[in-house]
Amino acid sequence: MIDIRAIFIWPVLMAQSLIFGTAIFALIFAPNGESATPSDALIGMWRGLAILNLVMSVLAFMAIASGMAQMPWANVLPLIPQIMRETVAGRFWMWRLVAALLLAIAMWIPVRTARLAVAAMVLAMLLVLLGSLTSHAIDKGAWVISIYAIHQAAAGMWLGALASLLMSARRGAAALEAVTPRVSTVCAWALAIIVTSGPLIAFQWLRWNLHLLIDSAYGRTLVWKLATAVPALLLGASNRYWQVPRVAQQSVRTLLIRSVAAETALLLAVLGWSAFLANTPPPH
Amino acid sequence: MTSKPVRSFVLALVVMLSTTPVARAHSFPQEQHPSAGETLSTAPQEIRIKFDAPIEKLFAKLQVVDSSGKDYAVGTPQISSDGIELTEKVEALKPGEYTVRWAVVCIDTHHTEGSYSFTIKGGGV
Repeated sequence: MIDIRAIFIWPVLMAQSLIFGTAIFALIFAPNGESATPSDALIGMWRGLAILNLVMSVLAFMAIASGMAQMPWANVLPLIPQIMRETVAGRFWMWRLVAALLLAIAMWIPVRTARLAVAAMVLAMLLVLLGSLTSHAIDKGAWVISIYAIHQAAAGMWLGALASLLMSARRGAAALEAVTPRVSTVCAWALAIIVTSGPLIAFQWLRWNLHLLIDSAYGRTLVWKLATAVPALLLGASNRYWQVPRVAQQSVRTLLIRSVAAETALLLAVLGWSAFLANTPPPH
Repeated sequence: MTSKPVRSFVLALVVMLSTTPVARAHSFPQEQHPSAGETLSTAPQEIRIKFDAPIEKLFAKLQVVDSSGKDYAVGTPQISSDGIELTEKVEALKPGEYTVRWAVVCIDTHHTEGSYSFTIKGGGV
């Protein structure tokens, strides 16, 4: 049976990852000082994603509260203040909703300066961290929470770099050629962090019991996540080693954009599996 | 221009993470008193279940029922200060078989539930 919580968490993960990834790319890695004046397209995307994040976070919390109380949504509504006061997850979720609201408000402040990108990055990272504190990682303490947050942040950097490349492609060949090598570098570092942190997180629950990959719902969901991530990784490798060095050629640019779009779609699907994984009890 | 806020943010993250309390989650019973399948010569005054991870007091439930379904639990369940032990007072139990039904929510929001039985010697209820 599909867990409705995962349906709401998926867009939350997408929104947080994309905002964090594109903001940090604009602030630190983008050429030509994009951080000083984020583009209209980027600001528009942040605004839309911030609203999506806020709405879906409220729905996700309602679904989680309903699951905790084992009650329908209508019945759990009066219990919400008590859940926020008296439960660990409720308290973290209260801060998560406050951060989501602040992000949604901040993105609509009519400024086009680096401060907007800093606000987007800081609030999205805070949401990633609070997400880690309401995840299975709390099962294992501060170090695993840290690794989980770093894993999520690296995924956001990979996704954000790809989205930044697709947005720069709309500004012409010169912009695409300028941004492509930097995207490639960011993706490589993000991937290195992901392939290091991912197994560390999985090891916390699976240990050396590899049969749990097949014999538990958590393990099977993880296998699906990996099966979706590997083609994204292969596409990324093909882009880095074949298309990026030849980005000056028009035919390669077209192919690169299509390939990056496919890689982005696969990463969004990987986040979907992450949402399901977050709502699947690890093997006990 | 942005390096100072970025550095401050990373520092704040490190501080937050290093002060995060250690916890465990997904609660399942580790010890039960009386234990599953145990036969007792005297009736217990209370039922205690120790879980392997902290639980939320707000959603902790425990029933002690006989074969007719009558619940002998008294009052509301109590949770230890570390959040891992659930205690429930029970009425004076007569000889017979009883089923303990528990339902808890772990601090990671996941609901778990289960049941087990114990017997008090000396014939039927």
